[in-house]
Amino acid sequence: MTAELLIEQFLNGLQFGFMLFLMSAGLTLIFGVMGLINLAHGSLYMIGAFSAAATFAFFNSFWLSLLASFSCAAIVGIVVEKTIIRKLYNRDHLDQVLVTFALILFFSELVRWIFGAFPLYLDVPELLNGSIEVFSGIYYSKYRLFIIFVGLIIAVFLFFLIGKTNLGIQIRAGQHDREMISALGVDISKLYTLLFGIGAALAGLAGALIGTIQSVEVGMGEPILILAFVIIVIGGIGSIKGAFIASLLVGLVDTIGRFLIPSVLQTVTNPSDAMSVGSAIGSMLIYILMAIILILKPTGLYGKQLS
Amino acid sequence: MNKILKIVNLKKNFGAITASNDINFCLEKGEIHALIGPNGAGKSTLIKQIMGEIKQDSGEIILSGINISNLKTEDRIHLGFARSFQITDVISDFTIFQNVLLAKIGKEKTFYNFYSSIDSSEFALEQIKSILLKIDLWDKKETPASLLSHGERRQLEIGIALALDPKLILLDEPMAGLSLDKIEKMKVIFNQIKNDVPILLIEHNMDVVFSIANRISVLVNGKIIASGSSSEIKSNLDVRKAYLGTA
Amino acid sequence: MMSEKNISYISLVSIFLIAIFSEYFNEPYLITLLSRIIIFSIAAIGLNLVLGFGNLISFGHAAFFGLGGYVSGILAIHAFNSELLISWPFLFNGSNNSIIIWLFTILFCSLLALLVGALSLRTSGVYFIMITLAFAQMLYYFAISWPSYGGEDGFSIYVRSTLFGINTMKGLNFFFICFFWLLIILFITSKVVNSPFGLALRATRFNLTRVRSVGINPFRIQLIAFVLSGAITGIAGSLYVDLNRFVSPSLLSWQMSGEFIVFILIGGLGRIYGPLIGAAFFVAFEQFFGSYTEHWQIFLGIIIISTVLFAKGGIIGFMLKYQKNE
Repeated sequence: MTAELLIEQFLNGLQFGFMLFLMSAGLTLIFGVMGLINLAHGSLYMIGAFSAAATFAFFNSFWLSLLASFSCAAIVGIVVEKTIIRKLYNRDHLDQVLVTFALILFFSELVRWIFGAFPLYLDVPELLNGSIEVFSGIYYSKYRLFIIFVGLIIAVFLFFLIGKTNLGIQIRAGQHDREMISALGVDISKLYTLLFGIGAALAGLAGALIGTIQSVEVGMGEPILILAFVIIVIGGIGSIKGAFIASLLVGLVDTIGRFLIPSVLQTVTNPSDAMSVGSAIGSMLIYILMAIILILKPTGLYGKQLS
Repeated sequence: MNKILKIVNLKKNFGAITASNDINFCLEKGEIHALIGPNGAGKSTLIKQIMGEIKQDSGEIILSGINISNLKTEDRIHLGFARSFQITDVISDFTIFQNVLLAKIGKEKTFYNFYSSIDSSEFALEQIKSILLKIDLWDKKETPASLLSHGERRQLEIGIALALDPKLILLDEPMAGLSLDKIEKMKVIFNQIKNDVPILLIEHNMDVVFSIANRISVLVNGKIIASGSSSEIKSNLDVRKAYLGTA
Repeated sequence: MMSEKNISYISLVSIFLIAIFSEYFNEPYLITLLSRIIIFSIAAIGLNLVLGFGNLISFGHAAFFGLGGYVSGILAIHAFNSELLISWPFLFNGSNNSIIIWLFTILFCSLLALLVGALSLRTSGVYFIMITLAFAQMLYYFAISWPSYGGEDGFSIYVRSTLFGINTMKGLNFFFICFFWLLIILFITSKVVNSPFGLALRATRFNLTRVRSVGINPFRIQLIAFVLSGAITGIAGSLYVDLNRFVSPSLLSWQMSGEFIVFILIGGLGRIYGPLIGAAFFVAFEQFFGSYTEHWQIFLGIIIISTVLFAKGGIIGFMLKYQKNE
């Protein structure tokens, strides 16, 4: 095990963490402000990825496909919010879970119907192809650095949006007291639609960015959705700051854990056992992390106390 | 041993303000003892000390011979305090019967019974029937609590308190917001249950107090200035002075 | 007069009769379908105990279903291969005796439920949903990356476990075993729900403060219900593996947890027989639409959404209401 490898894994973890933040930021805002558990957030991620893949197939332009990813996801998100989701704001968690679960079934099957069951692929543009020297002697994929950069910009943008703008004030007010903000004359249903659209756009963008590294296929959204849930639970539901810190934490722990644990185990047992036990433990690591954090802080790192 | 609750030399100061100034009084078996006094006289501070929500500076609170002065609220509840209209709250999706039954199950610790049927008439039926008859809700036993009127809800709350088999019941403004005929009905109910459980009554409605209380204690400026029957209190000069400002 | 009870008895009897007729008309596939319906409903009945009666939305009951499946499968495969399973404190080669398999399933699933419940019940609301989901995912990823028992591909067991010399490989016999389990589970749950414990459990869903104020510790009530619930769902997992003679991580998947909730919802939340009706509807729906299009889940999604948004109370609720309006 070399330092170069470790640094590379660290950067991979960081890159993964930023993508998870794109997913979890929308999810935590939607829960915090509207009180909605949205399982279908992963479907928006998938829709973003497929829109990008379809656009790429027609125009062969990475940048156009990025544009398509978040705009299509936002449009689908807004349509779904206006037709179905808004009926759920005053329902209990069980109804929300069921309807958004059904939306997953619907969208997954619809996308399979349109695009077929085979995975699609997106190409990294010329500009971002290859590696770049990040430290002396350490090379890292340009595209992954680009993802970190995009994640960073969006994080800054979100913190600015919530901390400094009028919309941010409404969002924060909404988290504290929903009746209050409609009493203040804010058009709450417009705010909700807008917020849901932003969340959907971020998920769609993440779908396209990750889809370029991996493949674009039905069912790609759910594993990352569950990670995003782990993140918002660790960070404390409704807290953007919590989501940010937990995203990076989960991204790093997951990536580095999967990499380090087998190597560490190799020092005490034979390589094949170390590989199998290590990867099994590595894949459970973030769930163990979440369990520990919830035992210590039942409402997550930055969550509001339970009444 | 007729003294269920005994308060001895209870004192409580908040800085320079004396909220309880050497209070002595007792609640005896079979009685309704009313505690009255103008606003700010220190009634709620006294109740809070009795319930263990705030701690007295000195003095003792004795429940059936047991000194409970230093116990937490929950422990006092376990020993037999029941307080209505503030801590209890009915479960609106349950029927009247189920609400009272739940309290009975809690009291008798039968909540690990997985096999007896609560639908069949056997389980705790007699006890619950007698409670429901006392609070005059037996006819409505299958009505969900959500459909009850304000007054019936109060009756049910008293039923829940009774199911917990308390040594005493503390009723905090039980008549607030009730119509006149409901008040009459409640008076009948109180007069009936006092034989099982003595009642410490806090009430603003003086007609109610004078008609049902066996004894009345008057609290003014943290001090009990008089204690006695309705007629004694009505004619007491100090009380007239405190309430009316004239002798 | 159709009451909830009658609807339930009618559905039990019809399932039984359809199985007998299927045997008579030589339709083994139908018998397998009926066994599947029963197994799914047992799993959902287990979940319904905490979800329908205690309002604890566990989104991770696949953990118990899968653990039950894996425990059974591992015991069976070791017995089949005469391969040592544990060497301490005694030598054990697994077993293909159903009774032993079920006992181990109940034991392990109860222990898992005790652990998961004790940790998850510290939280509530959406945190509870998420943490139960996370525990199930933890097991799912463990099963995928643990190579000894097939990893991602799972493994096959070649014969069903044996019970009192009955030929369990015969579809109808296995159906009887499942049906017998269903009757036991229905009896237990209806007993529990209508007991003092059941009343306390139902009270926890509305008002914890009130439950505490009458001297009941809600955490313990919920935990006991959770353990019972996990054991029941585990038994279903054990039967499911025996039915298919195949174990795979998909038993532990979160879609499985979601489907259990869907069975409960379609049948009618908080009704003892709800999951049976829901599972029957689900499997019938899958067969019917599945024969027209492989994309039948689109319609399933639409039906679930419409049920939640417009027809709360599920099928049983709908039938009872329809009756009233007549």
